[in-house]
Amino acid sequence: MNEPSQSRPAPASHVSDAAARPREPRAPWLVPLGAGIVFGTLMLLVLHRRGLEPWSLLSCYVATIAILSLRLHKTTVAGGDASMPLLALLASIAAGPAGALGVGLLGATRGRRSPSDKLLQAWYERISHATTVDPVARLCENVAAGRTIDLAAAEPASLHALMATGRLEERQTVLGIIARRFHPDYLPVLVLALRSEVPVVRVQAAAVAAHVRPLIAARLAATLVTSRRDHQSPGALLEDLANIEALCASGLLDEGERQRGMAEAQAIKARLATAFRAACRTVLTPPRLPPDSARTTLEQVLIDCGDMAALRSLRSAHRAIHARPTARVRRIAGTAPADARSA
Amino acid sequence: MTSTQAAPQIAPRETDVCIIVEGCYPYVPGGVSSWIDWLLRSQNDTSFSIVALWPKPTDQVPRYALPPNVTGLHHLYLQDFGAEPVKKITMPPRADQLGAALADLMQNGGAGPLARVLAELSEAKKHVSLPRLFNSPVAWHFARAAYDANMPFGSFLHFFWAWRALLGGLLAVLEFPLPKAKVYHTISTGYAGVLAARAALETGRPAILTEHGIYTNERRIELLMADWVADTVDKGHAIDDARFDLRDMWVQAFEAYARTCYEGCREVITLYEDNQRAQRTLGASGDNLRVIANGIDLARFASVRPASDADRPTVALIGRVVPIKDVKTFITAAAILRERIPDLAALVLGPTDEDPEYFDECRALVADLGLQACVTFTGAVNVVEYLSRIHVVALTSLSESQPLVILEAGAAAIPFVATNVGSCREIIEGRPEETPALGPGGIVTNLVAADEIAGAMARLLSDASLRRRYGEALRERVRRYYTSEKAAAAYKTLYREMIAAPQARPGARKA
Repeated sequence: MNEPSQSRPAPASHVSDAAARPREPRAPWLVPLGAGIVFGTLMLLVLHRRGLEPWSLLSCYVATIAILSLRLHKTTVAGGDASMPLLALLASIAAGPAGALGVGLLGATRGRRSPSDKLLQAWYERISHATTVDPVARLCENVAAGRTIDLAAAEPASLHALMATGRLEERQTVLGIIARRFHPDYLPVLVLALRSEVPVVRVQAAAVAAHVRPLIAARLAATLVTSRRDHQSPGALLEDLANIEALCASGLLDEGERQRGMAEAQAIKARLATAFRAACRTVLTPPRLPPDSARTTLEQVLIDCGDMAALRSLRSAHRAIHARPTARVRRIAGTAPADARSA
Repeated sequence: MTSTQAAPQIAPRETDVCIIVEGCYPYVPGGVSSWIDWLLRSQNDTSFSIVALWPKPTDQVPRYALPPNVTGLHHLYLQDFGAEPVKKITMPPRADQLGAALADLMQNGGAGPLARVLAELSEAKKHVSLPRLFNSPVAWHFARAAYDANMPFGSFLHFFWAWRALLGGLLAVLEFPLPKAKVYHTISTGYAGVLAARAALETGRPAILTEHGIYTNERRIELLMADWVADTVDKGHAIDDARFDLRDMWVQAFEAYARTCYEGCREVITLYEDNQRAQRTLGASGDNLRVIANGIDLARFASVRPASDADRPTVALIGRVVPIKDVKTFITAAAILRERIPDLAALVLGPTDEDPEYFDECRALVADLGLQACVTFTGAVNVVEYLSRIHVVALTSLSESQPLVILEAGAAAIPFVATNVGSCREIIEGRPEETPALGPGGIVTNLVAADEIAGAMARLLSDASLRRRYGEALRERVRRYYTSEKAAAAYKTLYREMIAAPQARPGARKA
């Protein structure tokens, strides 16, 4: 296997997958080498009894070399690791059966360093999720492998802009994101895709719409449950309201569900207006005022409820807080505009 | 669809045409299967064999009786490839070249890479069988090399199994014994398309493709949405992140297979012009593209008389009650329309048993909206018996290719309201080059747009002369362009040309 390019971090799988490599048979050349040694030794014994002629020693030597050469050839043809058979052959050429015996001992020591069954078992358990991997370890591994979000990349482009003017592949990728990472904020993009002038985009958007419809219904149902809980903070209620309105505006809800959602949206607005009026009777400090991001929504709620006095109070309070961030704003319901005092 | 008789076994003799089809005929009813059944029966003087691609052997029974002119049904199982794992095999010579050629075919596709793969496989098979090679250290070596080259940031384990699934299917296609035929006709790209391209290369006989929907685009969106494909690299919301992941690999492979099919086929046919744009984008060349539209038997509708103005105002959706038909939008549109036309009748004509859960949701929606007296689900019926009661037919589908239901309503001179999918606009409004222009046969709307659909139906219900004018225009368009006789004649001519085509030198690439 080729090594990965040095210009990028080595993927973690190169580390964690090491045990996945098929295990080479332990010292495959040991058997023929052993056979060669036994054969050579037997030959020597036989020859010794007969008087140990030089030609006999030579034939023993040649037989050992021949066996090891044959083994080296077979290993090379099969694409296996030929280093040890080659070493054995060279050692045998230099030192006869004694050389082969030395390399055999070396190989046996090396073979014992192969991944153990325990290590392999642990690895299998890890990849099959039979054991839990420490999230921190997982994160470290992903960072090392370069699998996390590319922080050096430019900010992601607007999905809406890509759907309106992007290339076909970009639009298709956006649709994939909407399908896999669904959020109510993506619904206008999906609606835009459903009305695309490109037939392929329309059809694929329709497939995504069919895919996310149950998600939208489930999201609405879940939001309706949370929004009806007592003691919901105004911030959480505002978020629920925004989600419900986005889901209802998608055109992908059944009419009955949409009507239930809109009714709940009205109920939330009424609760928010009541809560804000109650808050106006006490001291308003920044933590009790809605954040700027939610201010427009709350203003719209108060307009919808026709509570212009509360709307004026909200705006005055925000102006005062913006002018003096350390201010505490006191507003008594039904009285003149808010006044600001130092905290 | 007429019977469930057992499939005949492989016939050794050469047929005129070998149909190659993936995942439908003769086991799955409807859609493309119905079209194949029509094609086989409409060409009764042509002999056919069929290669049915399927993931693995199942106990499914055929849903269509094979006509007498079909002499063989062959099965190619894509996920059934490979022998017992082998630890040691003799490394075939040119193994590296084989690996590179396979990678090129899976990544880029095309007739050239396919020819190279076939040549390398032919050489390798002299030393080791493909099923053994697929489960040997040689294949493992290919996988590691492909991983390093393409997806070094992703998870190797995920890569390995996805790569293995793709390669297994590809090798099954490349190893399958081809039935002898004078023409190879595939009904999609994908693996079926690769088999047709291979047949053309190996036999020298022409291959043709008829694509109903664009297979690659269907697979692409399916893969982009799929939960079973793991995201092993976190790209966040970045669109242009170049790190290659599993989804990219699957999409790339299907695009490569499509390119291979388009380059290997002598004729690339589709049902309507809009599809040709997508085919060109995916690698089809412009000079061998043609449209052969589906048609209907006009005689079936000859006796249908249009609904009278005095009849109860009736709209209908003709189709299966399944999510892809978006029946809920039709019901919502009916609710909006009933505000304007209180005695409205809205019929849903089609089987309700395919997706019982969705049918229950539709019924719940009808109850929610208080439409019990307005909306009727008839179940599977003979549509012809209902047409004379219907003033407007609607189709709210999210996806179609060339819906026959528009042609059937048109044959009965009933105007149509349809979403802008498939060839709906082409049928309802006519092709730009239509001469003389017949005018609209209905109204085309956006998808998932109940208000718009209700408005279009209201317009047609409230204006009898407009309704008649549109109905007549649609009927005339169907008579001119969309009859089954025209479609059958077009295929008869095409087959005749292809059968008479001189034999190319096997292994030679199409110019």
